[in-house]
Amino acid sequence: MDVQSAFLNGFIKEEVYVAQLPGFTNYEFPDHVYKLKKALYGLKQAHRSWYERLSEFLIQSGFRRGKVDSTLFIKKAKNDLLFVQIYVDDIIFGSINTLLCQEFSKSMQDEFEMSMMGELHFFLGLQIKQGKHGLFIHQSKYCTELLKKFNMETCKESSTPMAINCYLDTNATGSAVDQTKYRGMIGSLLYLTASRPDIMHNVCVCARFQSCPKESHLTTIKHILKYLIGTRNLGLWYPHGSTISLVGYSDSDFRGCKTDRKSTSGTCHLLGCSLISWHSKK
Amino acid sequence: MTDDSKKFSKISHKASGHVTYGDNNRGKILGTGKVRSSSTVEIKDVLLVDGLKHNLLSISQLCDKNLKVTFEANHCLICHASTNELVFVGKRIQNIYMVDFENTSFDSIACLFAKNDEPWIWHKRLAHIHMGHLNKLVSKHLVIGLPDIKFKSDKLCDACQKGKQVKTSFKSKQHISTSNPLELIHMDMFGPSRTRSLGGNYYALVLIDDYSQFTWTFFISSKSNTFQVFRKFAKVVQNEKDLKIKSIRSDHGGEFQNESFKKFCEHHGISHNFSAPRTPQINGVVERKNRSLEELARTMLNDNSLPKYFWADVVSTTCHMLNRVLIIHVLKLTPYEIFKGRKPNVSYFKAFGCKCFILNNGKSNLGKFDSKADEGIFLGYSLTSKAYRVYNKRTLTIEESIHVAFDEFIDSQANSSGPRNSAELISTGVDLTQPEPEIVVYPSSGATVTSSSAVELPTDWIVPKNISLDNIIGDISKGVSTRSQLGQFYLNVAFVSQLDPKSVSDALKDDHWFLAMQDELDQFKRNDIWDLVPRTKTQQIIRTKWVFRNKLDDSGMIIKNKARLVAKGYCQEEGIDYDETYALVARLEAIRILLAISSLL
Repeated sequence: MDVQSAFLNGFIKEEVYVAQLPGFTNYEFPDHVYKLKKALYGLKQAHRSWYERLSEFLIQSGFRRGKVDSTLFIKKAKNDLLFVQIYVDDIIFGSINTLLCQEFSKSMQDEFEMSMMGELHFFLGLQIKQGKHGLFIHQSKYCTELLKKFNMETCKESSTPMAINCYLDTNATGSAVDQTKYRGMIGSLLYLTASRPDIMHNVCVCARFQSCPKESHLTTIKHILKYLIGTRNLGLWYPHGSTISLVGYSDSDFRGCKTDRKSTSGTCHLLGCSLISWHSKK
Repeated sequence: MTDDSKKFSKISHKASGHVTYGDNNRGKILGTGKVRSSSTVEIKDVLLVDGLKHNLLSISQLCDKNLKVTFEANHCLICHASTNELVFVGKRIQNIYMVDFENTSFDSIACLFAKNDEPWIWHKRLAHIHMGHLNKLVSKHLVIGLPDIKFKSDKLCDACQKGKQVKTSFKSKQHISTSNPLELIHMDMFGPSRTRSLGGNYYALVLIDDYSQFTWTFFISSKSNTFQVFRKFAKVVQNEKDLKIKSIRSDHGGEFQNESFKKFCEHHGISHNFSAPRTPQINGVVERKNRSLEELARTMLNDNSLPKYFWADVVSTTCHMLNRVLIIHVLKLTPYEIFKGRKPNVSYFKAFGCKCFILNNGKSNLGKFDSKADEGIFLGYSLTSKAYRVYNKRTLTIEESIHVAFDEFIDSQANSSGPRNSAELISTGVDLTQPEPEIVVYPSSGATVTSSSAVELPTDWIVPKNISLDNIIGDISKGVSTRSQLGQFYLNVAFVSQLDPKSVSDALKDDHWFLAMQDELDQFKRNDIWDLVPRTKTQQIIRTKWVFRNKLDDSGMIIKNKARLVAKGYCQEEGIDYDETYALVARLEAIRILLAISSLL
């Protein structure tokens, strides 16, 4: 669910005054100013005040804040658990007991102006499909928009995200390319890695050259985009009913970088059969 | 010589003389002919002689036919004298050399075939040159080494056909293949002309009666009207002659080959012949007529330097004239006489485009001293009444009138340059202080031309073809939108603004944006955001800004105008306006773990 105008809900402790609005001036007191009681969008403390407001409300209504992840709230009611995960003003919650869910959504609606309640389909750009046998997370819509944005949707697809023995270095002699565009591509691709571990390494390799991108780096990025054309429907599959066991893998390429003798290492963690975390780092 | 008449492949029986044998006996000649003993050897000039026991070959006659006969101990060879090419072989049996044509061996057949192919081999060697040419080379001894044989093209050479085939030639007919008018009507259409005619037409439909060569022309604005015109024509002309149209002939153009024509022909029992595809020659009668009409029309237009939009009138006049003066060379009569049965009268003919005066026959209300006639241009003859078609230069319209006086003798060149000369005279010769002179006197000829009569004809009706982009409403690149799409579009359009305002003042002018802003402020009120307090000097005032954003749906349509008031947070000072700003945000991993756990449960 989504909270409408979430930041306007946060109380502020400081005294902040804002000027009256052009076109909406109070005719009786044209010289008066507004003293804020709650936060406005744009104020520096708006995020914090909103978070405090929400967490206070949740704790009051019997939730316990997560110890590691302080944006996760858990409520215990007899044998059932209610999880609430907040991402600024986006909230996902779940429980086996549907009654508990209904109760929570009602209490939220009483307190805030809520919208988009219902089964989870779309969260932070992740498309989530809940099926009989499991849960599928993908970003095909985002991926299509990304390709459209960089005019790559009509390109020929490639079968790999990167050439096998592709080695990138700073390439000082190469011709420079538009840095803004390059960074835009990296940024867009980095968000796509939220559901695409297959391009994680490649994007990270390219991301190292953001300060001074050259033609060769741009070509590598375009190769990734071409790979995405054919694989835009890939995502993560979380099947039902596997055992809860956290398994971690890691690897390193033993000083693979030819210039500074640093290793690139990668890890991934599986919870049961579901891949939950991964990273690639030099 | 032979006695067996069955051996002959061709024989002419005539008793002409006798053959005297060695013992002075005489045998009667019954006939001469060709003997074809096997498939490849043919012997000419063979005599059928009564009572002969053996078949004899004449050596002297073989030698006459340019063959060489060589006798050896056990055989004889009959060869071509020039090329030494073997024709056939005779075997010696006791004292007689015999040729067995019935049982020629395989070798000799091959040999005989080789002889037959010889001309074709040379035809190939000499780059597939024509056989007649080879004959010429041989007969005139122009090259060395070419065998002296008869080159005959007795079959088609595939390669020559593929490489050199040309169109069939179309011979002109020396007789009329029909015997009555309306038995066959030729039809064709020419156009579109680049210029629209005065009547708004682009095409001309030409119809010719095959028997009389009488021609009709009709002018139409678009090809789709062809059928209506033809149907009308058919009714009128069948009624006039009391005859039925039996068949029509046209090309495969869509204006002729369509459902309406097919139905009409079926209903009236008319057979519709089409010319073979891409062969206009078959429809040659009307194609040739098109040429005549166009040529004459062009000539007449250029002769008078008239604007091109008179083309329909000039073609019509040409057709009218041709029907009356053309001579059909088989019958030695004019089409008009053949078709109508009386001699045409050409006494009323006038030169096309000549100057004329049209009497204002009570047409417009004239004053006592207004001129009685308007100047005009002669364009042709009325099809429906006994009148002339004239173009009135004053009213710029076409009229039909009989009260017309013609001035055919003015040279068209002088006619066109006259007004210009007079204008020159006005500007140079005559005193400029005077008011514009009514009459100017030519110094050379003394003829008078009124300067006020120089009404310039419009040179062309302008029909723009290239429309500038500014005049096109809507987006060209957008493509076609369907009605259902539009319906959806207008559903939103009615309630949202399509603008993206740059400033607050812009937004305040637009009702929709004003509503969106009011919406936001209502929410402020509901949430009890602020209080109005009097201003003091110590207060730090933070200004605000409106952010306007159009929310789009999947197809890019604007579905909502959203206005949001934001504070300019960068004016805030730490300690006074804010303290702590850090807010906790969930990591994507945390969300994924939650989802993973939820799927496990």
